[in-house]
Amino acid sequence: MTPDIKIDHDERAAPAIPRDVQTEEMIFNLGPQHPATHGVLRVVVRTDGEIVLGCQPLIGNLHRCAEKIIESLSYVQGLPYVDRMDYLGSLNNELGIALVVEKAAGIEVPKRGQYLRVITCEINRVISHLFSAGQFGLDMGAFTPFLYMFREREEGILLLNEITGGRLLYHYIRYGGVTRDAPEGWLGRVVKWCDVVDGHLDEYNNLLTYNRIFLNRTCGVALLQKDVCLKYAATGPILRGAGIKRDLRKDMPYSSYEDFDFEIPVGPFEHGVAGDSWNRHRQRLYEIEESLKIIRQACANLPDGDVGNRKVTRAWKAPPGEAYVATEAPRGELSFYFISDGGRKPYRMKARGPSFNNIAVLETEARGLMLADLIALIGSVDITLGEVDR
Amino acid sequence: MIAAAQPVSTAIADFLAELVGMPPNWFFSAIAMLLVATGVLMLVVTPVGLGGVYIERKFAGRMQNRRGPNRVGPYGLLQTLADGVKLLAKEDIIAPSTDAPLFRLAPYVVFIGAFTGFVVLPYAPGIVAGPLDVGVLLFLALIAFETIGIVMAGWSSNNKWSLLGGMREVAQVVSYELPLGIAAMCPVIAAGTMSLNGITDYQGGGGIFGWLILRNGYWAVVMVPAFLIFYVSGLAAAKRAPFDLPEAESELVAGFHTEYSGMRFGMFFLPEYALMLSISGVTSVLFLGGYHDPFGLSGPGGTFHDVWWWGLLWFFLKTTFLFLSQICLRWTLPRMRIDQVMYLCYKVLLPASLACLVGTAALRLL
Amino acid sequence: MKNWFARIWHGLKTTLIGLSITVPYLFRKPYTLQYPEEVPDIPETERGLHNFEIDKCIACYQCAKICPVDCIAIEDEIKGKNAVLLKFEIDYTKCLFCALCCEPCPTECILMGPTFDLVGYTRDEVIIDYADRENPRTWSAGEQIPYPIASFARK
Repeated sequence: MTPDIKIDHDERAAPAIPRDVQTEEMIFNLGPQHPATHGVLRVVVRTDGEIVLGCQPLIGNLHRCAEKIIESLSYVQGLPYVDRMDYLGSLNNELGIALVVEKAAGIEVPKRGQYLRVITCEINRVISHLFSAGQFGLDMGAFTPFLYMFREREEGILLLNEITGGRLLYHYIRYGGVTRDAPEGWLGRVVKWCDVVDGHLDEYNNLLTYNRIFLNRTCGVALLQKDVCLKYAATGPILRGAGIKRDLRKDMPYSSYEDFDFEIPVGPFEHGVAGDSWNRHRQRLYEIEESLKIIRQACANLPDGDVGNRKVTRAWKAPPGEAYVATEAPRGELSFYFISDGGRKPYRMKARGPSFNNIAVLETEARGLMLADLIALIGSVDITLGEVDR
Repeated sequence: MIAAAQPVSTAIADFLAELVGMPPNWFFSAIAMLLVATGVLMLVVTPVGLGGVYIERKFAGRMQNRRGPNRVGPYGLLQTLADGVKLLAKEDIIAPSTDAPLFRLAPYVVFIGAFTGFVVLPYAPGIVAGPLDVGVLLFLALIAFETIGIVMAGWSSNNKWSLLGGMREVAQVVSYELPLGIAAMCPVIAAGTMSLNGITDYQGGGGIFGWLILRNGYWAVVMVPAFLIFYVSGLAAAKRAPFDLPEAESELVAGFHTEYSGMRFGMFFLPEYALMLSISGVTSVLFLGGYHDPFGLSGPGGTFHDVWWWGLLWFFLKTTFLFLSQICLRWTLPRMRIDQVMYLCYKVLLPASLACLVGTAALRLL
Repeated sequence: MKNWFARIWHGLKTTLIGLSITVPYLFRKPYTLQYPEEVPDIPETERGLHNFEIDKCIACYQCAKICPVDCIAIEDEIKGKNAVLLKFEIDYTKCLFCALCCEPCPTECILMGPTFDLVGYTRDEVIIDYADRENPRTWSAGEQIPYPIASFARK
């Protein structure tokens, strides 16, 4: 079966690994039904034996016209669709679109609403990172840490379920605030959960992160160094793992993030070099710790008051204008650009999903890797296909 | 076992001859032997298939804080049987572009290779199917034989993932034959025989310090490393994690058995457990004293000398322990990469095993 | 040579550390819930299948209008307090479970309950008519609380 796309055969594509034996090149279709492509990503890989000579990610299998749907519905109706972009970090998506409309329309959010947004978004970031780290372990052949992380993730999901009503697609953050206040005793349970996750981080690290085989598999493998990250506008744990200190929660604080005291971990860490798979994985686990710090502070200092102002209804019209807001989603920089013409529907709602930019590195950076390392690259870049294809 | 089987097959041959009304001849003996062999095979395959798969799944479940199979039968004991029935009932797909004869043949080659290993194992005093003088050699040969089946499967599937899986299998298992064989030579040199029975007998008496791994205390210097090398190489030969590259799920979809379905897949699935068990058995014979207990009761002059159930018990315990340790390792470790597997073989295990060999020879001369 | 031994030792050590984490789990209680027998502890705020009280409905069509996917189909004879509904059909193949329909309802007659499982062999089986008086569909006997900010989108 010949693939229906062409892969460039230019000399630039030649891998750094010396090819003393020339063998026939093979074309592999990695996906869309491959176990390690995290969804419906299709990567066409040209290999020499196990060494990747060229690779091209083919996206679009999950394209649902999310932006266009949001533009064709009223403001209130469009919100549930944003959840479905990055379905592992749906609260962070909601936060992004809520902030951009609020900025354009000049809606103030009460402090309690902002803090609740921060708490839920950070819980979402933790469970998303737990999923990503576990999934990466799964790609490396370690099944058990994945399920341990899922256990703590499940507890976090139950907490979010209690306050939002959903398990995966929360639809909690609205224009002007959040849907409901924290139930009784919820904050205490959140802090308890933080302690549980904190206690289990060592377990994950000892079982997976510092395992010799895992170190061998990931240290110095699938390098995405600073210049590559900047060239492809890769953001999130990839960028920070490569040694660039950029986190919008610190650099351009939004939704009261300036109130909290937290660090931004930046690679390289104990092993490997900046920008390799191991550092990206370690980066995520360090970020979990920082997120837990934020959650604890927000729970302790949650101000009283209303959780949202209820200005936006079905018939609400945004004043004409435009706005751009960038937020730090679990996978990187998620930003929305919004134009209103004064009508009931957004005139334009452009989303910049981090996964879409992050996956672009595959095409050039996979050259010269072994097939197993390509899986490490895809796994450690951690994409959500819902967001890539939107 | 062979002692018990012979009168049975003679009786069956006589019965068949009488049924047909002809004098007993070679034809009836052959049929009777086939029947008996099938019966013995079923006796081996059923517990290995049902037990091995069940234990693996239950252990995996509990190690991962799950429950494992618990729906079919008490404690899920019949789950594997249900899976077997399902596999039998499924469509047997042979894609038109496959090399059909090889594709059909491959599972049986693997099956035979994995299950024949049980022939040479001494389970207890007097219970051994084939007390060969070159048991160790036959066992090593059978592991290589199984590889052929897997390469056949990988090649004939006409699937690139299968091909890569098959190629990885060749590279891996053929390489690991070297440290496996050399590490196996250490007990052979120490005991002075290649027969597994002979090696077991050599370790009788003296309890735990009669076993080769700790023989007289000082033998541990060479035998513990040799045991570890044999164990790790055995993992690689049985394609167990962290050496499960030929079927690396997250890389090669399902590796060499990507194209197989139904019972043909089952024919790849069961031998894995058979191979694990037989390698565990050989390890326990070579290093852990086979059917001898650690208290010296089964040695010459002991209370339980030549008592078959006592020996069987200890052989079973040792083999099960090794088998379970393989399962625990699988659910703990990530997978290696093919070049790292090769590195481990040629730069770590091979030199270390050669050092052990030289050390054993030196100790033997002392 | 020293490095060679150090790497072997490191490999063995981390393997043993890993085993010391996984093996004790063999003797711990599993985390799993035996789903059909043990029902998960679902918070009362769960946005599950709808609970519709036909007697309260005034056929104002607010829910159908705000639904982002148009999965609610209503037919009525009389509007207002003594409304007579012929059809109140929710198409669960489309439903997003966003609870937007519960928010503008003036009489709180449509709420989302904790029931989350609905299966059928055909697509028609998951299109449910809540106005069918001969075959009334209610999902659970559990406590129902009104969606707390039922007025969020109404004002």
